[in-house]
Amino acid sequence: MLRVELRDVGKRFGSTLALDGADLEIEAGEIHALLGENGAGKTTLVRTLYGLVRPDRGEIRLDGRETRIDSPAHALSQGIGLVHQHAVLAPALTVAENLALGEKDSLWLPPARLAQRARTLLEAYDLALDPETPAGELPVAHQQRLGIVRALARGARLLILDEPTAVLAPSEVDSLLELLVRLRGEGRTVVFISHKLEEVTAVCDRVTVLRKGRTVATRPVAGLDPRELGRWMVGVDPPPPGEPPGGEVGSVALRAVGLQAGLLRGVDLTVGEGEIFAVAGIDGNGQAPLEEVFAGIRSLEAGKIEVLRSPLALIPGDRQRTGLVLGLAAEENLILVEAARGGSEPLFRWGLLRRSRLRESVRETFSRFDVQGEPAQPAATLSGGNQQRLLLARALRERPAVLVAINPTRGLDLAATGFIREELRRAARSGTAVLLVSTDLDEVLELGNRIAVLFRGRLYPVEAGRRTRERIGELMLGQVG
Amino acid sequence: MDAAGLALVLATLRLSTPLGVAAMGELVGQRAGVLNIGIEGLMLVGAFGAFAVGVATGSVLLATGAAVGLGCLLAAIFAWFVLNQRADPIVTGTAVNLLALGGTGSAYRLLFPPERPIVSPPAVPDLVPGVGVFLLVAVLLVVAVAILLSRTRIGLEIRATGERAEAAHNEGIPVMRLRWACTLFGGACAGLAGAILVLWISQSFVEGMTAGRGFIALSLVLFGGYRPARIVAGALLFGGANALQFQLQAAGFEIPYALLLMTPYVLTLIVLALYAGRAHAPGDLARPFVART
Repeated sequence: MLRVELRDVGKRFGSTLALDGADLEIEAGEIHALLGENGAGKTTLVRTLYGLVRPDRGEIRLDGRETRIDSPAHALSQGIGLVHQHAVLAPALTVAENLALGEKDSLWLPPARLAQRARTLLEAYDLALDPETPAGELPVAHQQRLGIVRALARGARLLILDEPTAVLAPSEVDSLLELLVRLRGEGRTVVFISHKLEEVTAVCDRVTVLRKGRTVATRPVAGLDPRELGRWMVGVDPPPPGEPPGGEVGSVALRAVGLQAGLLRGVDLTVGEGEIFAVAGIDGNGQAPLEEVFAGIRSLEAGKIEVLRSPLALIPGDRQRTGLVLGLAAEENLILVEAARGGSEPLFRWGLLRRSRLRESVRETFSRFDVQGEPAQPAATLSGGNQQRLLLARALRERPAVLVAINPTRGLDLAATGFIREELRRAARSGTAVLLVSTDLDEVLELGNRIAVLFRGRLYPVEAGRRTRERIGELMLGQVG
Repeated sequence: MDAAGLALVLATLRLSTPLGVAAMGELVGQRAGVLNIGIEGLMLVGAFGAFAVGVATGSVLLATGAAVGLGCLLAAIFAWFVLNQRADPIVTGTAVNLLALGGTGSAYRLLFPPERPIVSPPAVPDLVPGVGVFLLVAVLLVVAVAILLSRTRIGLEIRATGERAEAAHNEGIPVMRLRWACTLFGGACAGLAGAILVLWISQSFVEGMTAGRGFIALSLVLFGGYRPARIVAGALLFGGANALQFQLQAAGFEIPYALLLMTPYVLTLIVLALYAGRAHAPGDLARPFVART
């Protein structure tokens, strides 16, 4: 049993104030939810507790004693374990080897002994895994479970889970929540970072809400008004869910027939002018090849894509890697597409970039799309939300007839998310055909005129009369009937 | 076996040993995620140290110790730049090679000016006629490294560190300390390999005498798929080809000797490239690591 207090913790990363006097009090033997928007400081706070972040100020008390935790080794010796959102395993090492990492009890670890030990642990936590499989080949849910078992094997009395459900399918979430309850039953303490109210109310005893690096409230979950939680989290009432754009759907602007590439096993779809066609699904069911074939960076093994209206614009799914050239200025990123098309008037003359025209045009776009930052600032130094707005601005600047958007709000806070969704809706209202591929169920429900689910490389349309969370969840898991 | 055959086998063993030893050190370093291309330079300072101390003291043990010590020292300089200062390992490794080449050349000319009579370091004692004790040391080293990496906790920690330093750190493994230790071990092995060149193979020191053997050891690690047995096989292949071309030269075949000299290098690279296929390099090889932000 371990009781943890963090008092007045502050941490600044460069110009970003990540923690601004946050408090966290965890009672022994409870499941404690840590709730807050992206960027509220949840991850930084728990990384401080695990010795991964050196706080600028504040103190940590374990069972009442002030303690400095300066490395994961130290945290582990105090009985604190952390499982990252994407469990950090050594991908080329086997399950057994990953489970043995950090064990100090014996020097001699022949493979047979490793496997034996792994089997015992895996059995104790109902994980049917082959100890000899390289960890990197496991599905993400199993990797995560492996990370949890590893922390428990190291004797963690306090287990911190950083947004564990973000990468899980609904049924996997349930099984994780069951495990948390079981751990509480074993007398362990759990800190559970979440974005989802249902998960908090389902299993947690108390909840702490963070906003902008400060602790807003800590309350027992029982009898809590979810609307109040939401208010603590965002500061005002959460905006009501929007409506899908309801205008006239025009003629077909984008058609794909029998797409096969990588995981894709024959995908057909059409998107009409003025509609948003939303593709839901759990990552890893063909989203990556789907994005790549529309981006033109992967060739089709079979099938064809017909772009019947142009121009076509793309919002790539990974803003840092495929979306932006991080070392270039924001304004340069903004006009990359135009530059690639040959550099025409008015931004270019005789093939040369006209800086003053660029600045003018960029300022206009920045204010139109609410990008907070200097045009000349490297894209790398913009916040995630502003990077994403920049991508949106680049795509919509040209008034595209077809827009392909991949996870356009992934990892963003409510304000940025709301803004981007409204812009997508607005684009559709003005006649753009939008193909939205998103792993965010709310986003798909909120924006899609028609919805289909990508599962193991095939697209399953959601029947008009069964447009519910439950039905989409079923399809995500492959219950097609 | 006739006399020529026996001579060929002995020469093969002799010429393979320094490669195998240097490659074992590089292997351990790379498995921990440290790419040290300065291995050529480390071997060279080892060779010089063994020569100078061997000539001065006449002791094989002291000469070998000096070689190992100098290898460690130069490896420590490399480690400080690459691990602590997060300098680029390719640039730093190249600097180490140039430093070693220039440093040993100057020191040799200072300590052994041409007007001094020619001196020789002591020869390593033989285990059996024609086989120096260094062979035994090398065999033990290979076995020890193979066991360390595959069957011990420290080996697992080394592999995890090279594979995903962040994961290792998260499990409380001292990433920095391990990388330092493995880099120093690599320096010690390269220094020893240099001593083997001088005390067993050539009985003399010549500027730049390692002649690319460090780079061959480096490629043995890569093409040997980071596995000790394959690396040893590669070293034997190179040593064998080298021994053979010496015999062909001595037999007076009408082939330009430069072509013969080149053969072992080309042959080793071709065979290893074909045989090894796509080896899995440690995931975090040559990536700097920062513990806390």
